[in-house]
Amino acid sequence: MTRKIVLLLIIGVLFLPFLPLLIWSFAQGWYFPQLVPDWTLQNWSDLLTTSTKVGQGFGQSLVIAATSTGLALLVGLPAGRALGLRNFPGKGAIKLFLLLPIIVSPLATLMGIQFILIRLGLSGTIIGVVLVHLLPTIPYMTLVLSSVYANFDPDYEIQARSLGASPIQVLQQITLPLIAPGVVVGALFAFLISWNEFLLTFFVGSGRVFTLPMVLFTALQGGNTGLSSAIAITSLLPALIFLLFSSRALNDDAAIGGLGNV
Amino acid sequence: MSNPEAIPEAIPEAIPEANREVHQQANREAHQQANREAHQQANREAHQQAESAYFSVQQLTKCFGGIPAVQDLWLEAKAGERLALLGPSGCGKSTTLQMISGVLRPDTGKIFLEGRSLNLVPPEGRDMALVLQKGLLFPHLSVGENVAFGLKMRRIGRAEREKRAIAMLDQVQLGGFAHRRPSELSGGQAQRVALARALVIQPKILLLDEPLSALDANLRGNMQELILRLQEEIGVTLLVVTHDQEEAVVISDRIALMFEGRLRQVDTPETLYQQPADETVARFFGGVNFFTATAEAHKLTLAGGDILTTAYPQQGAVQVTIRPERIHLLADQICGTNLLPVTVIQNRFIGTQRHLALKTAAGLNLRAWVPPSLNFAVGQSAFAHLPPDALWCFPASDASVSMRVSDLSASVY
Repeated sequence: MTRKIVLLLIIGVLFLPFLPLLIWSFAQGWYFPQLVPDWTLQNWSDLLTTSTKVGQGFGQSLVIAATSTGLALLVGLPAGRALGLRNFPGKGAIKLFLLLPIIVSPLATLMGIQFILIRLGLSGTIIGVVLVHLLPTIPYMTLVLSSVYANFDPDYEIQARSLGASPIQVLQQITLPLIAPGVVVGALFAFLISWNEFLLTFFVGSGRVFTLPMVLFTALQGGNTGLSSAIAITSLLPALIFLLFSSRALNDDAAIGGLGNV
Repeated sequence: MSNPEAIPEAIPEAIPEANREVHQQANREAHQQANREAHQQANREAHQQAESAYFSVQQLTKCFGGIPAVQDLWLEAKAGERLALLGPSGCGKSTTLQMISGVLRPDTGKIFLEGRSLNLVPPEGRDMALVLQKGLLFPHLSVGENVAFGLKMRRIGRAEREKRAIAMLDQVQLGGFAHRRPSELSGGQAQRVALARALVIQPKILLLDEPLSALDANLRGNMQELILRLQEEIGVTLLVVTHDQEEAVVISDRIALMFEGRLRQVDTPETLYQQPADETVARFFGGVNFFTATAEAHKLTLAGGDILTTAYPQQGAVQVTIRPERIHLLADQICGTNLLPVTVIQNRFIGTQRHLALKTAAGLNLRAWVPPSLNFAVGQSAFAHLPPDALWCFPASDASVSMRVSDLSASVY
């Protein structure tokens, strides 16, 4: 019983900040001294019109976040494996080096990046935005996967190969299923970092790439609190869906490796 | 024999010219070792038989960062033979197993199975099944799926796969366990599933890496029995890698003893116990009695003047050893030869035996393991009978070479 109450309290504290957002998104206006706003569905129906660009922003965000996550996985899996399972000179330095994009403010690097991307003709393209999103996502992915691999026993792979599995089969049938929970965590991180990225998209997208945070920014600048709230709530959806979907994978005891010491 | 080129000359035509260079170099280095004579002979014999052997390893060498882990290793096995690779930890036996299973690539040397060179064959194509110490069942698969894994990789249909997996589980006395998760099994059960998973693919060689060391004492016996029974039924060639000499003795027909990356002696367990090649081998197998003597054919003159007769003729200064369990202790002098008057200076009862420490009149210390019913009081006088066929000697010059190693192996106990 007490457990339930504590749980409800936690949920309450976690979701309380979202309550004003929820109210705003259904309000026409909510100003002092009104206790209750004038209710409306206008903001939500506006989301679906093309003029607000919410649909376009949602789509572009999804494409960019999914692509960056996929690419970060492609780099992070082998890199994480090397960092997690092997010992080589300069390993500590490389781990520190990986943190650089997180330590150094993107403001300091953006000018140079923008300059190069313009020369390459990638400024204002989705490819360009995906590339700069890899800047924060790859380090996160690699660090998460390196601790996942550090908890993975490579003898499983030796065992599988001696039983007749080719390297590809070992990866498909043994390694990936065993490190799946960690991969899900890493992918979740990467996806959300990319999904919520504003500054990098703002600069490199040059106003032509329009992700959801950009749409939200425009709505906020326009002073439309109701629409902004509705967009903000929409932008929470993928994270919630992803969490619900992955919680099953994370709870699976049989899958070892798991979160490791993330 | 002294010509270092002798061995490369005997290598078959198949080895390309370029390899021969490396070959000769490796050999030359190897020859700088102390026991080169015995080495070359062993090499040559091994090579002559290599063509006919079911499984053979020739001149296997592997270095890690310039430090040799395995040096010039020659080994062979007949079909259906049970062979153990025994040695203290860090002797290179696991590296050898990894090279045989294909996980590691040897620097030089060749591995043959049924006349086919395996050097370029990846692990999955070697027809060998590995059972590792931890069992290592795949945790995301059920017990049945674990056993059927190798069959699935061989693209055998689901129905056939399940049938064979269930039959194999029955053979390891785990019928009805197919739907369990690996996490629900005890250590012994997991090890049996690992054995079933390896045997179900009908490998030509079953490789066992310390199969019993993770189990507690009473499970070990059962597992040993199971391995031996299955091996007899299936007739698979068995290669066991272990640091535990008891495990090696029980499981195998022949034991290959390794120290510091080199094979020291390959023989039956009986020979290793009774006729060790040198003191290091003797000590590894629990030898505790060593003394120097001068040999004239069958006659051994001890330092203190005592004279013993051995069944094995030798000449010159020798190191004599006798197994502690081969010493008979008598209260009275009943037969004339090889009888030394001794005083009991220590008596330890260990359940199945009594461990006695003895001192002869000339000050020689001996240890004898006698039946527990033979109870001698400390300080009591008795006669130790050393049977001639139990007195084994090797040249004393070897002792100085092996002392260095024996210090190392003594720390293993």
